[in-house]
Amino acid sequence: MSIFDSFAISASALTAERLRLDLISNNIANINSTGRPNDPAQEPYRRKVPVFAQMLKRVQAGDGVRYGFRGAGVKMAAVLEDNSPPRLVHDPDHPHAGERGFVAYPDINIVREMVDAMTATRAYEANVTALNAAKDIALQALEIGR
Amino acid sequence: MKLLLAQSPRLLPAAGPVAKQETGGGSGFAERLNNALHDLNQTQLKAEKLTQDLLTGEVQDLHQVTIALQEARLTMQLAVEVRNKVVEAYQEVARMQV
Amino acid sequence: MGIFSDAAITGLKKGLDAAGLRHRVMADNIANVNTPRFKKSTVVFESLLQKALDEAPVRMAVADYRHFGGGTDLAGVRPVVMRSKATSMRTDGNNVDIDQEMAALAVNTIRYRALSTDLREHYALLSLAITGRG
Repeated sequence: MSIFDSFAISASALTAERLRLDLISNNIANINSTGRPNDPAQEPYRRKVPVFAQMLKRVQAGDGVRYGFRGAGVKMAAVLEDNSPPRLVHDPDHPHAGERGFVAYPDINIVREMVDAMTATRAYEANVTALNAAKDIALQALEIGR
Repeated sequence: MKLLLAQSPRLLPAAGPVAKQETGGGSGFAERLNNALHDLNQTQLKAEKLTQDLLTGEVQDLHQVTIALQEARLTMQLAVEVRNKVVEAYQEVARMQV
Repeated sequence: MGIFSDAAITGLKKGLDAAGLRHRVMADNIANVNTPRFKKSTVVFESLLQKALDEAPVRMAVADYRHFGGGTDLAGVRPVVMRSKATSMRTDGNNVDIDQEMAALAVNTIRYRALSTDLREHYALLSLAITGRG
């Protein structure tokens, strides 16, 4: 274990939350990326969903995992595609209109995406605070010898 | 933070830990001096080891390194002061007119 | 070394170890604030230290090494990491309360500052005593 573990833990969260924001931006940008219903060759955009998982330190023989704490932050373990059925909108003149005049829109709710974005931003800010606190602690430790 | 190891004279070589020597008759001062030197060497070695750990990224908390360095410095100061006093006492005795 | 083994300096050093560990644990809690089913951990130390200080004068002679001697040795007090199994109102199974963690983070950071400053003062006093000059 090194003193920079605290920094690594907070940094891992900054990366993960930023990636989540990227996914959200992508979802919002593609809210009108339509497809033809029931046509596998022309599918509408599918909402991307992040999966977060805790990172743990591997315990090796003779390793100094002090006090039995193995937490090592968080990572984005996977990006899944939302498999809910697309939203059908009746618009016969649309280039993507199917045989009954329906167009398949991605099932993306902008309000929900904005709420997720806020959650991610708040988590990002909290981890920045934790990172600054770690820096404060390290600088204080250096002062002991002065 | 000045590097303690760079600025202080080393009383003992860095070859390794000093073995405690048993003095035969247990003469008080010699044995205590020996123990004190052994302890002093231990603090210096500990500070050196932790500094090395810091460089290789093994250290758990930064304060452990700074604490070890500070304690090594204080122990060295104590040893130097004691040495000075002993030398002073000797010189005073040597100056006495017989 | 004899000059560093008094209760104050030993206690301060252990307090610093505990505060450093606690920061790491809280950083991990905060990093996992949005991880489904994550359970937060906490560090128990100050209450253990208080218990050791309260019991320090009571030490009983033992006839066998397996008997309890009573009281706790100050040098043997160590921080303990505990995982909280408490449930929360969140639907994702995560029990991190971000506001509580942020407040505890601030307290811990200030505690670390106080302990390190205190320790520095102790060393400065020792230096003054040794050299007569500080």
